[in-house]
Amino acid sequence: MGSKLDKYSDPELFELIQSRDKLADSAFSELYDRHSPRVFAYCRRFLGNKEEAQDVLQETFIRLYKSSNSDREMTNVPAFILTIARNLCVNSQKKKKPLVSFEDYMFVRENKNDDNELLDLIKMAMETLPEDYKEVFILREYEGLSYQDIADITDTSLTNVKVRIYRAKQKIKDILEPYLVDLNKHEKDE
Amino acid sequence: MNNLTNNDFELITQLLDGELSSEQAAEVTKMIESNPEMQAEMDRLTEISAAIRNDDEQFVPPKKAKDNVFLALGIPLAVSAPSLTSMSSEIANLISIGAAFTASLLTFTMFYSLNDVDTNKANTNVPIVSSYHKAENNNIIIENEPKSIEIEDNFVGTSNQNISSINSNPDRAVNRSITSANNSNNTIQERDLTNSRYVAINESIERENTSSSKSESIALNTNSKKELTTAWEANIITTRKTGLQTNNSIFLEGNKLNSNGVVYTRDYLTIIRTKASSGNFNTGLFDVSFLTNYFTTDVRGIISAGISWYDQNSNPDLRNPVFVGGGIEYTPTFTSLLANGYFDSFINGQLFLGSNPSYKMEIGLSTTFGGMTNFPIVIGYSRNYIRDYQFIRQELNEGLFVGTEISF
Repeated sequence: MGSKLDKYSDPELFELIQSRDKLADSAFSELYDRHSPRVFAYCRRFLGNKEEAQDVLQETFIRLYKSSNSDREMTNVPAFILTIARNLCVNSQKKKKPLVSFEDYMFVRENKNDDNELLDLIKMAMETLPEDYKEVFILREYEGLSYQDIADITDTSLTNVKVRIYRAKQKIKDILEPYLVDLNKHEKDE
Repeated sequence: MNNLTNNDFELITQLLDGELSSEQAAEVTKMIESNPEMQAEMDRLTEISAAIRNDDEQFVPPKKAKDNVFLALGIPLAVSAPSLTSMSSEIANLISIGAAFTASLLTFTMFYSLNDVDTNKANTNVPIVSSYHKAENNNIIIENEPKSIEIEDNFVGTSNQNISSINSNPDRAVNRSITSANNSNNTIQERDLTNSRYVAINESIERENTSSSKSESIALNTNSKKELTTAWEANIITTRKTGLQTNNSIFLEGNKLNSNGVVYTRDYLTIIRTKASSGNFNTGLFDVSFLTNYFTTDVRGIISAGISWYDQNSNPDLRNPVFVGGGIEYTPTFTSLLANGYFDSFINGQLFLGSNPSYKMEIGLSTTFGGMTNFPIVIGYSRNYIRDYQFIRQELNEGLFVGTEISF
């Protein structure tokens, strides 16, 4: 039997959770199903570690549920969830340096082929970015968030976000420059 | 040599990110078109963004992550559990109904093969025999039998058909020599000569050769006017109940159990469940069960087991105070038990413990219409068969049931 809640909007689902109605738990389940892949992907990219990403994912949704105890009106649930996840990721990063497990390492290596060689290079270049640059880059490029949303999530000014994004992109472009030039040369030869 | 300023680079970035107003975007676009360096810069950034957009790397959250979240919050895992299959709910429901129908058909066939139900009537006169044992030399001693058939004190004469001789002794023990000819249904007929009527002893007496005469000695501890218990006949349904039944349940939900590292979720604990046939709404004939169902994290809803107090005859049956049972239950989608409607097919076997152990098999399907009320309507069909090991009591109950469910 399919979920009856899949037609509900995120704010409506959050209201159901707040109401502690019979459907509250199902509403929470629906929200989890809807947003957990994105949150997990964000955490995974941010932290680079599957176990840590899972921990943050779990904690994110636990906090989301607990936040429903308040009477706050939720208009942008995805941004709220990402804010929680982002803060937890930052805290996690502060506690310790990310560890790349053998599984994570092999995951990257096994998926390596010519087609996504550029993508792998981007990921490697991304790892060289300072954390505050890296997070805005992920939020912009992977999550597709607007500068303002990123500013809200990271609790920083819009100007700061603009600067960080362009510097992050500049740095990644600089790292990839030789590859991009070489790639363009091959394309022209062909 | 790259002569672009930071401002140029920032403008290109913001243009690509759609962060410029239309006027600004038009202006920057014009700048880029007139500046090959800016054009090349934009091409590289576009290439990077395009590569990221084409990133189809999937990060699927581990399934246990959701369970952990729900367990931490004390939410029943049944709520978090996804559909067992990726099929549409309609197909899943059809499969559920089909499975239940098939199982019902199998059980129906099994019952008919086990029991003599062709006569379509239950032998309701067969009493429950509290105890008996079969003595050596085919002596059957029946003690303290419930009422059934009276035998006069003085037996005179001899049998003319099935009974070759009937003897009585002073201590009320009756020694009978019985000749049975071609009695294939294990029923011995003896004639009470005083009353000139036949009494049926539905006792299973092993016969070496039903076509030959056989002598048996039966000792009865009976007083004058004391009833002779008719013995039961194997493979006869002693009680049959059909028709509409009630099925009301009260559940406790959401407890969990961790055993040997495996997390089990007790989806619900049925603290009371009653059933009654239509003709006995007021007079009893109900069972009260205390059930609990555990679902493993990875095999949700498949196994149910528990203990129960079962009272089939409205009077507390202290011989069978509890049962342990197990079964298979398939619900295509695990939603909150009462929040959403669901289809459910089940087959259960239960073993009753006690001085008179018995077993019960039940099969059926049900559905609820929930989500709109705290008391969802439950309708379904069930068929159960109860039989004790001594073949004294066999019950066949079947029919539609309707009821409601209350949860806490």
